Order: sequence, then structure tokens, then C-alpha cells
Amino acid sequence: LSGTAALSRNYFKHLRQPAPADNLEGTIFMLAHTNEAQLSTRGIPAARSGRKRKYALASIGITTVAALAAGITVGPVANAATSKAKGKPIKVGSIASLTGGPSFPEAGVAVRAYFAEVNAKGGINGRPIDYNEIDDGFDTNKLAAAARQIVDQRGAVALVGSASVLDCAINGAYYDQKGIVSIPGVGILNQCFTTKSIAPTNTGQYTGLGVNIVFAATTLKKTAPCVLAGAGNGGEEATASVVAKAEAQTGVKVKSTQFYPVDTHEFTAFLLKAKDAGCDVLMPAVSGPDLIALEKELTELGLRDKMPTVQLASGYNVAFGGALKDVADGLIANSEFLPFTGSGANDPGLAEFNALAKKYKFAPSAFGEGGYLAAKIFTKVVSGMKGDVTAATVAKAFQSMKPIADPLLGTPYVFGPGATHQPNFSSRYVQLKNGVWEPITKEWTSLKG
Amino acid sequence: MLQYIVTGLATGGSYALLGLALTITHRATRTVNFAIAGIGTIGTFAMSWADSQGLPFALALLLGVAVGGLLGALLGSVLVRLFGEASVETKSVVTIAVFVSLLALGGLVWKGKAVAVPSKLLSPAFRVGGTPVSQSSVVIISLAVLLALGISFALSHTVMGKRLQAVSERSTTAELLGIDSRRYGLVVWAVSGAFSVVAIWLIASKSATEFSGLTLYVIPALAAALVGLFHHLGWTVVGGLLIGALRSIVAGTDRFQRYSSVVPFVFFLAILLWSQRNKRWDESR
Repeated sequence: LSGTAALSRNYFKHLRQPAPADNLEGTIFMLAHTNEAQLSTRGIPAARSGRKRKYALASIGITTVAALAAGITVGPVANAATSKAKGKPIKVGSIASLTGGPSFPEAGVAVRAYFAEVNAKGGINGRPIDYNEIDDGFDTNKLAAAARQIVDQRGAVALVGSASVLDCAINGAYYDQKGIVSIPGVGILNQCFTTKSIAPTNTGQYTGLGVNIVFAATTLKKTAPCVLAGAGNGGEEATASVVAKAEAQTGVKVKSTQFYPVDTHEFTAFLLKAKDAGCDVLMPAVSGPDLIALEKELTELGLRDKMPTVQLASGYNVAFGGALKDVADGLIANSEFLPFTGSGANDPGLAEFNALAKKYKFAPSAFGEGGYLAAKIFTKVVSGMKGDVTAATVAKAFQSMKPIADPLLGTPYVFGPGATHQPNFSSRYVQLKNGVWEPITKEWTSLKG
Repeated sequence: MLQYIVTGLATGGSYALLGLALTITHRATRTVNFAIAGIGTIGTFAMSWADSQGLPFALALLLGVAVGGLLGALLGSVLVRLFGEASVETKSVVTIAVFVSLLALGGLVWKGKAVAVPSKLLSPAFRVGGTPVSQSSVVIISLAVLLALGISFALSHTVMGKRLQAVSERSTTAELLGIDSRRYGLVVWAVSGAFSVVAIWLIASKSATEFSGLTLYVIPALAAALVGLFHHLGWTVVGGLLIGALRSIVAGTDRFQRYSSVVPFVFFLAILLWSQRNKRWDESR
């Protein structure tokens, strides 16, 4: 509720003053598709006279009330587990972006289900897991407060299955300082992979891009792959680094790398430029709904056969499959975990995950797989611990853990003692066939180095 | 260069179409309707829902248009009743409030997820120097040009058009002359709401189909309408096409491609400065 209020507050803050133009903001814009800087920039007349101001204030009041009223429908989900475990609860938290921007509820739902199941079976060494998820409301102030609430006030021993757009960037240093580990189910920004105390279960967009280049060069046998990535927030450096790795691994040179402004929703010019460069496959790193625009433009330009795309895991989404059914049949996307759609739904490796989804009534999704894995890995690591379970001992257990293999993962998960972490650097591939994503590889493709 | 201009014009046509809706609303009701794309998006999503339920496409489109018309009339009735004599600024602030509310509500309802909007007419109508121009682009640009011509003619040559102008410029005087200004106002709001659904659907069939992305299409449309100073329909179309083409050309360069989304704002700035060119210091403050 307060997230929604903060959102409307923020909008008005931006209407009055220009938004700061740092790179992080740029990323927010890309993901949120809401360009507050654009709102603020022009054409919004300032209310001057007292009467006008009164109307303006009334309108703002109406807006806030409307936004608040809408927010009422989004309430906290109750902890549903009827626990057999009677010991002292092990407190675990997570932060997810649920309101105020792009929404990632799937990981948290899977984490909650997994922990409910663990609790029903006696908990971790007799102790139930007390899990709670906080909505960051897409608000940086709320994000910082949420981390402090979880770590300081609740005394959580770890963050498990977070799925917040900005958490790693805003709270990474705080987690380092507090010595608490976070195992996000969905790591989005580069900081999720370059912070000492964070190691997500998913591949992330940059490594995902590298894996895609390897896939295009080795499996699709393409000789002129091209990259289209977002500008800003370190995107150029991170892209260059994975491109170099993929080139070294495959011996295939990337023909061109373009950077688009993160607040654009139109890619036609970039597609034309890639075509002119002679690309035979394009690897776009575009956020969710934008890839729909890109695919439609590719179809419109008639370039689909000449220069197909391999989309990131952000494309592997059931709704996108439906939205692209008529325009992008044959589109290939990266799956960071074992594919769960089409014939993949019956893969024996997914039996446990599917059973959980069925029992707790959630639709299987890639983000759900990420959350499920985070919860499963946490349970395994903590089950093996002796003595006190505190943030410090849990962190130590993760840093010295043995790799945990899982059928959903191409590479066994290991946290390790390093300053940066990339436990998942493998993908499977799926192809859109008549609106359904069908798995097309039986092996995992990995980015080495 | 030619291919960037051709594809840019196609995108610019969408800006022009929505810009026209803005200009018409402004001319008839003295309001800059920031919420217009939001209303269009809700109508488009209603249409997509109906389409996904198996309704024939034409009926689904009709339903979406009706939803847009209804929402437009709803917003219009608030403005006509409560802000009938208020200034352009005040009325526009109200639509900004609605625009922001819609963004928040849309975020809660659709949660930033893509909606499957029926995409039609993506196959090429013809080619210019090897670059295909899709049927949808042809429809969008022709619709923009025809509407600009048709409405310009109707406003200055028909009784209804003249009454509309009277209502918009002096609503009380018009009423004293026996013109039911509320009804005329409401009709314009309903029609612009309905029209925005068609515009947003045409845009959505070739772009991202997510609520806030479509709702924010109002920004390049505002830039286009500003080229026509919210009055001249022809210049609005020219503005939209120009912004689209320039944006595409900039995105096609090596050095500036990552700044291509700034183009509408350069237009904002240039036109605002130009429109103030003869103002003396005190007046323009």
C-alpha cells in the first residue's frame, strides 16, 4: 500500500524537479518502461495562481486516493504453513519488486511453497523456517529500509529467493557490511554478480548474453553473430567482457555490438544497422516487453529469416509466447534453468518442482524455478550446519559449501569465498512453436572462463 | 540513410496519429489530454481480451473502441462539469493527475506484463529502395493525413464544426446563443477516447504491448502536437513524421545511437523557445 503511495509521491516529485540522470536511473527506466524524466521534462504547466493551485492540489489528492484505493487490493500473503516443526524458528527474508513497476512475484511464491513443505516435514533439524517477503515498491528508500528491517529488526539469517530489480545495487554494500548472504532467485543488475555476499541462482543478462553467443556459434553454426545491449549502468563494460569470453571460447568473432538508449521502445534503426553490418544472428539484451516490440519490428522489416534473434531468458515467458504467437514463430530464447514448457513440462528432472507447483497452486515459471532453487539450496546448506544458526554462521557455511547439483541447473550451485559470484553460467534453449516454448536442446550450453 | 528515413516515417506516423487526437481535443475542449494514450491502452487491452475470448475481431475492436469512448466521456464529463470555465493549465493538470493514476492502476492490474494484442497488417505493402513498408505503416500514415485534412475541413466548413469551435473558445457565450456546450464537449471527449483506442491498437500491433510503455506514447505525441502548437492539424502530422524520421536517423549513426530517444525533447525545447521568440522578458516569465 505504502509502495503505491510512494510511487504517486515520486511521480509528483519528478513533475516538480528534473530527475537525476545517473545510470542507475537509466536502468530503472528500461525495466519500468516508465520514464519519469520524460514526464518531468516538458509541457507540464506549473500551477501559479492560488485557485489553480487549489485545483492542482485537489487533483493530486484524487490521484493519491485512487492509487491508494487500488493498492488495497495488494495485501500481504499470509504464511500458510501448518508446521510440524516445533523448534525455534529460523528467520529468513527476501525482497521482491511487486508493485510500482515491473512485478516479480513468482520467485517468492515458490520460496514460500518450498519452505511450507519443509516445515510440514519437520523443518530444518526440527526448526521451522519463518519466511517473509517485503515488497520494495520500486522505491529506493523503501528498498534500503526493507533490508534493514529484515537484517536488523527481524534478525534474519539470510535472504533467500529475492527478486528485486534494484536490491543488489542499493543494498549490496549493506549485506557485505552485515556479513549476511543473499541467494536471489532472480538476479537482474550486474551488481547481483559482483557483490561478495550475493550469489543468485540464475544466469543474469550479461552471462546469459555470453551463453547465447556460444550457442549461436556452436549449435546454430552462425559465423557473424551481433549484439544489441543497453547503454549505461556499466552495460558497455559487462557486455564487452562476456563478448570477449565467448569469442575466446568459440573462435567466432562478434560482428557488431550496438548499444541502445535504455528508455527506447523502438529498435527498427538498430535492426537495420545490424543487417547492414552483415549479421547472421542477433543477440538482443532487451528487457521483457521491449523484446516483443523488437520481434514485431524484425518481422515488419522481413529480416526474420536472414537475421534471426536469440533472446535472453527474459523472453522465456509464457505470456510473451502468446503475445508473439502470430509474429515471431520460430523465435529462440535462453532458459536459465531446465525448461518447463511444451514437452519440457514432463521432464523427470522437473517432477519435484511440478509437484510443488501443483500442491501450492502456482503456475510454473522461470522465476519460480529460480526461487525454488534458492530455497532448496538454503535448506540443504543449513541442514548440514552444526551449532548456532546465525547470519554469520550461515554466511560461513555458504562460503565453504560443496557444490550442489540439481536437475534444474546446468552447473552445480556453489557460493564460495570469492568477491564475485557467477554460480550459474549454463542455459538450455527453447523455441516458440505455435505460441508454445518448446525445448530444442538436450544438453546445457555454458560460457567458460 | 533512405532506409532509416522510410522506417522512421512509419514510426512517426504513430506519433502523428496520437498527436492529432491531442490537437483535436485541445482545439475543441481547450485541454491537453495527457491521459489519452492511457485511455487508448485500456480500450486496446479490452479489445485484446475480447479477441482472446474468441469474439470475431471486428466485434472485439468495436468493444475496445466503446470502452475508450466511455472512458473518454467519463473524463470529459468531470472536466466539463467541474472545470468548464477553468484555464487550459488547470484542466490539463487534471488530465495529468488522471494520467499518473492510470499509470499506477495499470501497473497494479497488469503488473508490467505484456498483453497479447492481435497484430495485423505487418506484411509489406511495398518496398522503398529494398526496405519493406508494412501495410500497418501505410494505414497509420494515410489515416493521419486523411484525418488531418478531413477534420480541418469539417471544423471550418460545417455547422457542427463551427459550433464546436465556438464552444471551445467561449463556452458560456456559446451556451447563451443556444448551443448545448456540455453535450458538444462530451461528444468530443467520447470521440477522442474512441479514436485513441484505434491509434493505440495500430501502435501496439507493431510495438511493445505493455501498459506503461503504450501509455507513455503520449510523450512523442505531445512533441508532434507541439509542432502544430496544439492547433494546426497538418503541422502536427508533419511534426510526428519529422520526429520519427529524425529519431531513426540518429539511431542509425554510430556515435549518437544511444541518445536517439532524446529527439522528442529537442523538439520540445526548440519549439518552446521558438514560440517565445517575440516575447519581451517580462511577458514571457
